[in-house]
Amino acid sequence: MLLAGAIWIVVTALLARSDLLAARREADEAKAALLHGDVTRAQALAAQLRDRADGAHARTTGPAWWVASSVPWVGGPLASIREVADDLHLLAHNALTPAMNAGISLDPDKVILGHGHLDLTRISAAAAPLDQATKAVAAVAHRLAGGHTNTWLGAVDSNRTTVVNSVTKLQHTLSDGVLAAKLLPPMLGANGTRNYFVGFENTAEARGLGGLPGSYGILTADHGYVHFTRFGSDVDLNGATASVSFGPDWRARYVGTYEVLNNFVNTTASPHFPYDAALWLSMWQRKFGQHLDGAIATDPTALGYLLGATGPVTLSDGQQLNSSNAVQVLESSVYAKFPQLTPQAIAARKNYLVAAAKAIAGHVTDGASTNPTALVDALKQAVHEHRLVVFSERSNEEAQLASSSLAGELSDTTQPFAGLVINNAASGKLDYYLDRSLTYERSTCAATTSTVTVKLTNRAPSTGLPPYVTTTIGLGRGPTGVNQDQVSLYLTHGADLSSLTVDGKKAFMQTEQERGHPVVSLAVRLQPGQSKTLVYKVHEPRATGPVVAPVQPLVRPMHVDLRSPSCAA
Amino acid sequence: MRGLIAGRRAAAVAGVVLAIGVNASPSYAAHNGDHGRPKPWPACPHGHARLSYPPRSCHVETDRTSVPPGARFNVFGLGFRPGEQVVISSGDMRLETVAANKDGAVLTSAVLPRDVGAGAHTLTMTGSSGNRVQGVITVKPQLAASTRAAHGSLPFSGPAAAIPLAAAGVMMLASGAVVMSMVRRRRRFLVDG
Repeated sequence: MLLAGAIWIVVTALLARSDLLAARREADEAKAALLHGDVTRAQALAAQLRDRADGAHARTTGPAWWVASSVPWVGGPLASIREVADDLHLLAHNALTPAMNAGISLDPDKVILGHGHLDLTRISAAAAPLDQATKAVAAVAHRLAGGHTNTWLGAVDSNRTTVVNSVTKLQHTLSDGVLAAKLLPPMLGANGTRNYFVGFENTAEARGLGGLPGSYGILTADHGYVHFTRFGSDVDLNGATASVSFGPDWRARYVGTYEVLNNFVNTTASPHFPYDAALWLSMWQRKFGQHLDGAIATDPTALGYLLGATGPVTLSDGQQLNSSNAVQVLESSVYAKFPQLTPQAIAARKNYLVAAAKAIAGHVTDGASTNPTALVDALKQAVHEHRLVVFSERSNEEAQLASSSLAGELSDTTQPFAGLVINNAASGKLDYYLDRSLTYERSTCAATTSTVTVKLTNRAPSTGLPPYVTTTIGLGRGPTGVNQDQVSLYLTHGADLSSLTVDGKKAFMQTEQERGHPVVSLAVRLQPGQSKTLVYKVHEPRATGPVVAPVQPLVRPMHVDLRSPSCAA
Repeated sequence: MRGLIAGRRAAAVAGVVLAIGVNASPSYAAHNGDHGRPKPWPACPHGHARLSYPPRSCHVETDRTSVPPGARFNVFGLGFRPGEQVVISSGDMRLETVAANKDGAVLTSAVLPRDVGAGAHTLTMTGSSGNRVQGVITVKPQLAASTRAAHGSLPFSGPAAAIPLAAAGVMMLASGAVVMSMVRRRRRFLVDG
């Protein structure tokens, strides 16, 4: 009898596993079918998926399973399998249908209509089913987090962890979808025209957000019709002043040294985009008398991603821009094309970059319907890397944006934190060649001393670069390739720096605060080919979750290595 | 501009350390640049004559972010006229008065009175010409005398507090084991008997 029961459980467990694996495969296929607009196939796959989930649930709910899974400790793995099958059964029945309905409504081919037109009705229609699906997934995620998560059988625990991670990821994707479905229609002018300042950053000259705002456009959205009404360079904002304040910490850090209230090219000094965007809107209003509804910041890397989806664009001089050369052309070879420091050369270069921004923006908005799915993927990539961030001047919209990475916020989390922020202090364009790495090490979750090691390397060649790239304003000397950056490390809330060394020698530093993080800054000068290693010893409070180490979006990728035990929130 | 500031600062740090022999270690990195030559450049022009592009270095720097009450620390500032008298203060408290070196830099040590409150304190360097730069240093909270007496100079940490509790727990377990053992013996005795 016992043997028969054991055989029954083993056989049904294998069948349930097979059902769940098939269900997972069908979920991926259904998602792909939806993205390609094949609704019939997506619906058929969803029906199959539901049957698989029902099957797995049924196989693990008989009396043999009930008895076996109730045995203390020994029955733990079986109880865990039963719980997972039950939860996925709930997921299939409560979340699948609304998610499918939302997916059908958000078919990229039907939402992105080309020539800068988006169907806002379809986006709005997806909000309610997405919300319903999100709540159902959140309930399942909550159930999965409890129950038999730690049994004596590692394979079962490992599979459960995989399911938990997938469900959590699905929950975040759906939450982002809800946010987009609720925010996009009003922000794209469903209730009236909206105007946005779009800053095009030059990451060859680093600023805290990413790069110096060298060009801009004014984007107008009216009932889903999106187009640019104006383009210009930073010169247009010369003499503009802003009237904003974000408290004493912000004033101490940005108003004196960076003069952000009257110096447009320093307005992106803070890595917290809402601060920077508010400066742009205030400057624009005071200089041109136009009230804007929000701001968007992006950079050539993100524009390259978009060109990857829409295909290349040709500039007026015949230069073709595509996904693989956009950054190189816009942040490096443009300086070889206009190498001199004369006012004429500078004006010609700025005009060229403004024309490039105009050409790319026009190409992307007009050609968005060429491959909408690829465009959505490109936008997601840009948002993920903080190369596309959005601010709404309406506080209710901004509060909703703040829950997503689209807001470009500097997190005010109390979790262990190590944020490396570079602001160029030489006025050259040598951050194009800057390599960065950050290693964070702590041995315990209790209060301790952590070590943050930052290595910076100037990969610029020592000869051959145009004067505009290498020359520091005011020096009037020939090109040398020497770069200088103001290097700031944002620490954990409540942390205290015990020592800082540069290449093994003690260093002086400036201490500030931003959004609760102590900020330690110093200037670092790098010869061509030179590396410097900064070692920070930091007294940290007890860890309240995993380490957070945001990456400033610059030209070259940053290597991040986090060595910390897994600490509970 | 920053390059010049940096070179000038590097030389200033080295020069002042050697010249006035403050307790700044001679092994300090001239981190604000390389060990370059001093360059004449108004780091923090009085009256904001020009915009800060690139950002300029108009602030006070320290060799640590926080100090215990009454502890001495090293402080550095730029942007003064060569030779001018520079007052280092925190609020209304005058901490030091020193002369800027030929590069307009100040490097010295200072101490905040032991009885200043814990928390962030703004350090201000004011030159006789009116040039002014600021920075922040944090004074750590002072331990209560009773706490210091009970636990020496170390803070009373969580793990330390757990040791007597753990010892008490072990004692209780041991007592329990002895009692259980006695009960078992008594039962065996009753059964056997």
